[in-house]
Amino acid sequence: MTTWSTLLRPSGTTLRWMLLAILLAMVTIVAGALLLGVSGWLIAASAMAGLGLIGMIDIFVPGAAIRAFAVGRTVARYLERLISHHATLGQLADLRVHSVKRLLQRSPEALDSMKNGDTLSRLTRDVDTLDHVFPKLILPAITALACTFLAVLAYGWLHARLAWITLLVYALVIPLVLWVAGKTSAVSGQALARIGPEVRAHLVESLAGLRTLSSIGQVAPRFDEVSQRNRAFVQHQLDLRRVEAIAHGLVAMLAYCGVWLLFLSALQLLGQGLLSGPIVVVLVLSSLALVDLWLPLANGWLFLATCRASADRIDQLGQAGQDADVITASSAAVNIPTSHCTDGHPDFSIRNLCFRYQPWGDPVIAGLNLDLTAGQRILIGGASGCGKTTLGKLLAGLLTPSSGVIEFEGMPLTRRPGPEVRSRIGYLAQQTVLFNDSLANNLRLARAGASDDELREVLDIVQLSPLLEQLPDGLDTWLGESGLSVSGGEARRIALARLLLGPFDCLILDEPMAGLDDATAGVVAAALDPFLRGRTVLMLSHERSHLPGVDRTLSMSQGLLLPSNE
Amino acid sequence: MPTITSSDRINNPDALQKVPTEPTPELDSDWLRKQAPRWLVPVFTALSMLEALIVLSQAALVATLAFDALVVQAAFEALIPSLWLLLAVLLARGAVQGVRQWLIAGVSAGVRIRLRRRLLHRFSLSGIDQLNGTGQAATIFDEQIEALDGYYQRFLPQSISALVIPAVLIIAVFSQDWLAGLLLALAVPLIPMFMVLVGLGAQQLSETHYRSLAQLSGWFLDQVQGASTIRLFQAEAAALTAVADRTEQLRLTTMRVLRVAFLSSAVLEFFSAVAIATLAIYVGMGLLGYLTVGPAESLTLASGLFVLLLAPEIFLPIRTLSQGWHDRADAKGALASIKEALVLAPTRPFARPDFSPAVTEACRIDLNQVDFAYPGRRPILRSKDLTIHAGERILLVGPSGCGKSTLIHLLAGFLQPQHGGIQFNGHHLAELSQESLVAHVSWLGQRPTVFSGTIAENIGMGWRDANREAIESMANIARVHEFAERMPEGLNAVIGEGGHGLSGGQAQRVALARALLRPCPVVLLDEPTASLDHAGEHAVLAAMDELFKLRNCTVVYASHRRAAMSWVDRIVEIGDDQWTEHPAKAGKT
Repeated sequence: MTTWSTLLRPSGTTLRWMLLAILLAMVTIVAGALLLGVSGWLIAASAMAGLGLIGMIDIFVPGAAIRAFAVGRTVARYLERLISHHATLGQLADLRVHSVKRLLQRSPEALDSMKNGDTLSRLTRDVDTLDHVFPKLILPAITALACTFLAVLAYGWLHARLAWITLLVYALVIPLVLWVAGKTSAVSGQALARIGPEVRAHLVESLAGLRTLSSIGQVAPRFDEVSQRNRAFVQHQLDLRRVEAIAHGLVAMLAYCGVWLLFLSALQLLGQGLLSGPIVVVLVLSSLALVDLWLPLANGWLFLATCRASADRIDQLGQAGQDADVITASSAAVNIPTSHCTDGHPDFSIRNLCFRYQPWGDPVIAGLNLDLTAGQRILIGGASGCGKTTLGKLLAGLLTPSSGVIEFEGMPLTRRPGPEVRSRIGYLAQQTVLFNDSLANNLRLARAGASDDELREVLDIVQLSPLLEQLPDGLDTWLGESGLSVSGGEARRIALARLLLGPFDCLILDEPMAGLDDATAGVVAAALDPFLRGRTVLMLSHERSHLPGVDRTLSMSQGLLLPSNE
Repeated sequence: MPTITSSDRINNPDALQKVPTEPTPELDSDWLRKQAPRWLVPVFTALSMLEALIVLSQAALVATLAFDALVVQAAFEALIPSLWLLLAVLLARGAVQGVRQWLIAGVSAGVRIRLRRRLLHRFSLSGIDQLNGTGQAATIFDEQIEALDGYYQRFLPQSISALVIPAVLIIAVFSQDWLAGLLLALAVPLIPMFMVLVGLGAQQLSETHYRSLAQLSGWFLDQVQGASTIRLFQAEAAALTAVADRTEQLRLTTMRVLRVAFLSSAVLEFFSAVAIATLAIYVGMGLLGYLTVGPAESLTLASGLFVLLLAPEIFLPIRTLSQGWHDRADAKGALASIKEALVLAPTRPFARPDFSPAVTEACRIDLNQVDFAYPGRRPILRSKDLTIHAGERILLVGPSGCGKSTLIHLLAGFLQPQHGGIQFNGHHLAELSQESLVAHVSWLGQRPTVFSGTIAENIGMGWRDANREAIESMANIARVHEFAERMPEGLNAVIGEGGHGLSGGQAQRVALARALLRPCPVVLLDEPTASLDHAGEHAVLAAMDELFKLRNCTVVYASHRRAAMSWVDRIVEIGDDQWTEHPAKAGKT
């Protein structure tokens, strides 16, 4: 399902709230029209009765009706705003779930490579834009159409000619003008969607290179170009706005024309004795509500164009780099027994492994060979930048080898299904990733069904029990912004504990003790040792002390492995 | 060679004449309004007046037509002239609304273009180092200036109509029936009071609503950025549930606030509805003869209907304004950082635009009693003296963070010493015009930028007069060819955004070629060979040696690596407290 159709076809509960909001919007409009209409009727009838043109009228019933409409309009309007916000917030949830679903269809490899770019923050901005589609576009459009048809029915009951006029002006000509305005603005809208990110990228590049530009005397020409591009962007916006202004003027003129035609016909019908005097007044006053209904719709085109562009970008996100195994595969993790697999023989055999980030790039790993037998523990050391992290990512399936092969249990890693690889090989990335969520939820990422005791157990291994005891909310303590801010070392240990909770029989640990002081690292390493027994472990670390015991130590330099000099 | 001329000027930088930069922008609360062109307020006041007059004519024509048809019972034909007039008035109303929008769209666009140009001008004088990174600078330029749009597009014109139209209409009602006028003036318990009430409510609403939305965006971004971790743990289902739960929580808290916040606009709605209802009943009873007080007896259908028709029109501009209140809140929110960016201190406050001494073949550099500290941190350079002779090469060594790059940035004019001065051939560096500084110094930083375009364009932008041959030979010296040859288009391969991505080391080599292309007497190189292996480094150094000898360049070179030690004439070790000079290692090529 595309993003746009997610917006137009909301889920069950959201849809019900939306319909209620539309209904209340209609009640507001109708009550307002009737408030003015009945008031007009009262005045006209009183004037005529006062002069003896018609019989005496009862003032109390219309008086009460007027008061009821006055209160009714206020209450309906209040409820409409409340309910439409409720519905919008419901759609907000749908939209975010939809976008995350799209995003999670990408392979971990693709997601990992997106982490540092602008794509993800742009996704967030796009989703934010789409939040306003219901209150700004859908609600007013449907309300306008529905109320127009109510008016057609009501006026048709008085006389067919009035219904035809209403239908012609408000259900045909004005929507047609709006449609033409939409078509006219589509070109500018698309240009806007295309240019926007370009202008931004050019700007960011210029700002990031400001010192370079300044040192070669190119700031002024470059900034002139930024200014020109921005001007072109704003000019496209302005073109859209001008189309909107013309559409607004035209719709207003047409809508008032409709009121005038209704008034004219009503006066004619009055002359023919087909309508009563006070009803003519009701008609003209209530028809003014139709103008207020249609006018705001002329101004939605710029917003609509922005929304379409945002929706398209979210759709594109899901299309490229899709993974074969989709989200439902996540249940696989739950089915794997909690103790690690014992039937397999998790071993790696790496032959002639080469990796370049780009075909024209320098090789980061250049013909590497390594055998890691089941249950073995190997430590790979080396200076930063020597290719350790790249090797780790290759083994975890986050990168694809440029040439050579990584065999896992005798079969190339790339040919194994993703879910199987991910439920057997655990990977501790160099950069700790924790979520703004409770401590328990951060841990349960690795095993959704883990009990509180199990969580405490893994936290104990990484020596976080003392910290846990201090937390008033315990495992439910919120991490990150608005919550507990953990130190780098604590975050590292939480990530490690999370990994221990997983079902993996093979672990790739990239700088496992980064950010821990030596004393803590020593204690954690000792506690980790029994846990790692029986699992195949590859540790990547530039430090050699304060790590769990290993069978072999190798050293990496310029993309190749050397026997360690220790 | 000129020696230091007047030592007092060096030791006392205050003696340097600060060139007056453009005056600090007025940052009072009216700032936003003052950005709009001057004609805006009078023209929109006139347009609002016109609209008010149109509304009055519309009401008067409808009321008299109704009176003629219902009470006088005139024939339809007799009504036709008035009907045509009404059509004209109604069409005029639509046209005026269109014109308003047309005009205001141009205003908003103009303000944003102008402000962005000013911001760029400020950035070109002050750099963006005082801001929180490129991201913040881009956000101010892009989103925050865009956030002003609603203020000019909606709030400003609406606030003019909300003042003018109700005032004109209430006066008109008074002229017909003072009691009705009084009633409206009371029902609008003096519009300013209303505005405060609505304003407070709306402000609370938009603040709370926008804050919680912003929080949700932040949290959502956090989830999205951790997406690869979620995939690795196969916790997709849990992540989706978390997203749904979190938004549901947002809904609960937001709705609690909105329930109260919407009340204030409900009050406005209520007064408007009650005013219409009360007017209708008052006019109705007056026409029936139930009321004998004040002007009620002289009411007719025409005046009664006229008053009734005006009642909703009096409240309409105020209601529109209250809906646009968050536009103002958004703009005010964005304003703080825009203003901050517009008054950034210039990087080179002493530069004299007309001071451009000729660029001589070789350049001598003198540092005299230079003090430098980054704001809020302890001094990094204290009373440092150093003379670098024309054509000399020195190597700066020392642990990272000792001030090597800072010294290079001082020499490149990116930073200003707090005390003391730097001279190129006896001319104050601080006073050189920007053009002259650029002509004197070629600089290569640690994290250089490549711009989107071809490799050749990236190198060639260093010196506009350079020909293709020069570009290719510099690419050769900086070993750009090594990787450019692997790309099908060679030096014409497009790099940067939308092109081939380069690794940090490759970008650095392109930037080195760019810096070498510039025939400047002073060359500042900050770790230029960090990404090269030893063989590559030696080759680059040998090629640069030849080039710099030919040009007789004065070179300041910062590096951790040993290879450069034999390439220079002198080594300056930068320590915490003092600088120690060492002779170069033997074997200079």
